[in-house]
Amino acid sequence: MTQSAISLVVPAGLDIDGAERTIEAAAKVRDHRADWEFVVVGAATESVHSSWIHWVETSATARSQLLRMGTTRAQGTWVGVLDPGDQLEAGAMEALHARLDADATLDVLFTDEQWASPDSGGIFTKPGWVPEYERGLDYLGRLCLMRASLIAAVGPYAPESAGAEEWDAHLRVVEHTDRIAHLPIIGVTRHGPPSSDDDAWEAGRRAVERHFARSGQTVHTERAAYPGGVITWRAIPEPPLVSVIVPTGGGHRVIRGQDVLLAEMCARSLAERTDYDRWELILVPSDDTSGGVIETVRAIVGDRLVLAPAPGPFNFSRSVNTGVAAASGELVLLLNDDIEAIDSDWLDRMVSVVQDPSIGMVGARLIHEDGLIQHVGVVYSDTWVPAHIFHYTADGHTHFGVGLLDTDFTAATGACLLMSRALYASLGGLTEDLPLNFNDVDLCHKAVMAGLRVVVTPSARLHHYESSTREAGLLPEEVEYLQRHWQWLAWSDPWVNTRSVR
Amino acid sequence: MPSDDRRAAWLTGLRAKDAAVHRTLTNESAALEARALSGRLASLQAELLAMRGALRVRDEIIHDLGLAIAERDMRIDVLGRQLPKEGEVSSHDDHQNRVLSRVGNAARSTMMRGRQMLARARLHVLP
Repeated sequence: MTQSAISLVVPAGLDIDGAERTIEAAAKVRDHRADWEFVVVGAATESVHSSWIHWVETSATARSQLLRMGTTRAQGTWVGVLDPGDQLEAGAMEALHARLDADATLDVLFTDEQWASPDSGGIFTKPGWVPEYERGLDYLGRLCLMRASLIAAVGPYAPESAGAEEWDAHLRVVEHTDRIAHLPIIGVTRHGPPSSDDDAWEAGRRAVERHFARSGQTVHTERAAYPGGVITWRAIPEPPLVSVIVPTGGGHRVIRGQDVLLAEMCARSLAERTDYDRWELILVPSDDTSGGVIETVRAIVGDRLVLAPAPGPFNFSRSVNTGVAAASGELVLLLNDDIEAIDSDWLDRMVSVVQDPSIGMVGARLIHEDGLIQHVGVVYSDTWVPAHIFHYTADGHTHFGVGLLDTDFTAATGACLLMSRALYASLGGLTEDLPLNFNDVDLCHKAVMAGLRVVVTPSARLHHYESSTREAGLLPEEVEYLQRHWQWLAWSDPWVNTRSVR
Repeated sequence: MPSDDRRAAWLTGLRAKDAAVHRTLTNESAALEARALSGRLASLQAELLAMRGALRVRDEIIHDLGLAIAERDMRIDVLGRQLPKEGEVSSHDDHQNRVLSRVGNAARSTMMRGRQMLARARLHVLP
C-alpha cells in the first residue's frame, strides 16, 4: 500500500445483507488501480471474496466492539467508517486519495453526505472545519477519514460511547489536531439519516460532555432545539462585569405601532429583561443626542450608567472605541441601541460561551421585528462581500442545525458582540478607517488572525430593529478596504462550499 | 492623570495598535492569500478527480449495458433462426405455443446469466 492507503471499516455484526449492499456498491465504483480496502466485521459469510475485502469474523454485535476490531485490523494510513447499507459515491475515493496525496500532513478529511429524502433535506453540504459546530452536532459524519495512528492514540469506540461511537471518536481525534480539511463532494449515500432518537441523542450529549471534561472545562450540556443537537453551558465561576457599549444619536422608531426612543428601549431591555446582573451601561452620545435622552436612560439604569460622549462628526468606530475606553468591565459588549432582548438569559448565554479560552468573540441570534432572521452569522457572498447567512428567512430556519446551534464564523455582527476588554485593546478595537460598515467584520477578522474563534450562539436571542437609525448602504471604498486586507481570509471562509459557488 | 487624559491616551494606543495590525496585513496579505489559494486549489483538483471518477463509473456502466444489449441481440438472432420458415409453419396451435414459450424462456435465461456475470465480475474478478 502507498502512503495514502485508506481503510474503510464496516461494522456489520449480523447485518450481512447490509454489508453486502455496501460492498456491491463499492465494487461498482472501484477503480482497478484503487488502493483502499474494506474491513468488514461481522458474522461469518461465504458470499464475498476479493483481495480488497477483509472479513473479520465475530459473533459480537455491539457496534463499539465491532469498530474496535475493525480499526485494529485496518492497515490504511487513514481510516473511515461506513455502516452496512451505506454506498460509496462514484469518484469519492479517487478524490480523497488526491487530497491526501496533495497534503499528507492532514489528520482528518471529511466529505459531504446524503441519504434518501423527499426533498433537499437529505443532502448535507457541510462547512469547512468549524469546531463549535462539531460540539453541537456530529457534522463530520461520513465519510470522515482519520489518521490511523491518531485513532490508536486516542483509543475511541469504548463501550461508554455506545450510541454515538463516531461522534465520540471524532471529538477525541480533533482534540489532538487542527490538520482537518473538508472535501466538498458527496462521499457517501447513507442507508438512512443519522439517528436522532432518544438513545442516540442522549449518547451524543454524553459524548460532548466527556469531550469538555477532557478539555478541562466545567460544563452543563442539554438537548438543543435541533434534533440530535447539543447545547453546552460553560460554568461561570465568578461572573465578570460586562460593560455594555451603546452609541446613540437619540433616534426614534415606530416599533409594533408605538413611537419608541431607541436608547430607552435598549436600557429597559437591560434593566428589565436581562437575567445576568453584573453589567454597566456605557452610553456614548453623539453631538446630536439631547440631554433628555441621557436623563431618560439614567432614570432606568441608575448608577449603572457611565457617559462617554464622542464629539465631532459621526464615526461609529470612534464612538465604540470611546465607550470601551471608559469601560471598567472585564468583558465588553458592543450593542446597538435598536436592539431589545427576547429571552432574558441572552447575556448569561453569551458570557458562558466566551468562557472558552479558544473563543475570542461571541455573537447572538438577531431577529427583525417581523420575525425574520437578521443575523445568525456572517459569511462571504459570491461577490466577496460579507453577508448575513439566512438573512430574511423565518426565525428557526436551519440547515442541519446551523442557525440553531453554536457555530464558528469568520465574523459576526457588531450589533451585539461580546469579548474581553483586553482582547479588544490588543486588536486595536474598531478601525476608524471604516466609520460605518464592516468595522465589525474587520475586528472579528483580526481576532481570527490572532488565532481566536468567533462563535455565534443562536441561543442568545434578541430583536434587532435594523436600519432604524441610518440607511444601510455600502461604499466602494469600504469594500475595497476589506478586500485589500482580508481577501485571503475570504478564500478560507469555511462556509463557502466550492461545490456550490465559484 | 485625569480620567479624560487616561482615556485619550488609551485611545491613542488603540489607534496605533490598529494601524500596526493593518500594516502587517498589507505586508503579508499576498503570502496569506497564496497559502489560502493553494488549499482551495488542492480541494478543487480533488473535486475534479471526483467528477472524472463519476464519469469513469458511468462509462463502465454504459459499456456493461452495451455488452448486455449485444448479447441479447445475438441471442434473439439465434432464436430467430431456430423459428420454422414461413412455409413450414404448422397451423397447429400447440406448436405455435411451444415455440413462443421456448423464446420467452431463453430470453429470461439470458437476462439472468447477464446479471450473474456482471455481479461476478464486480466481486471476484477485480483486483
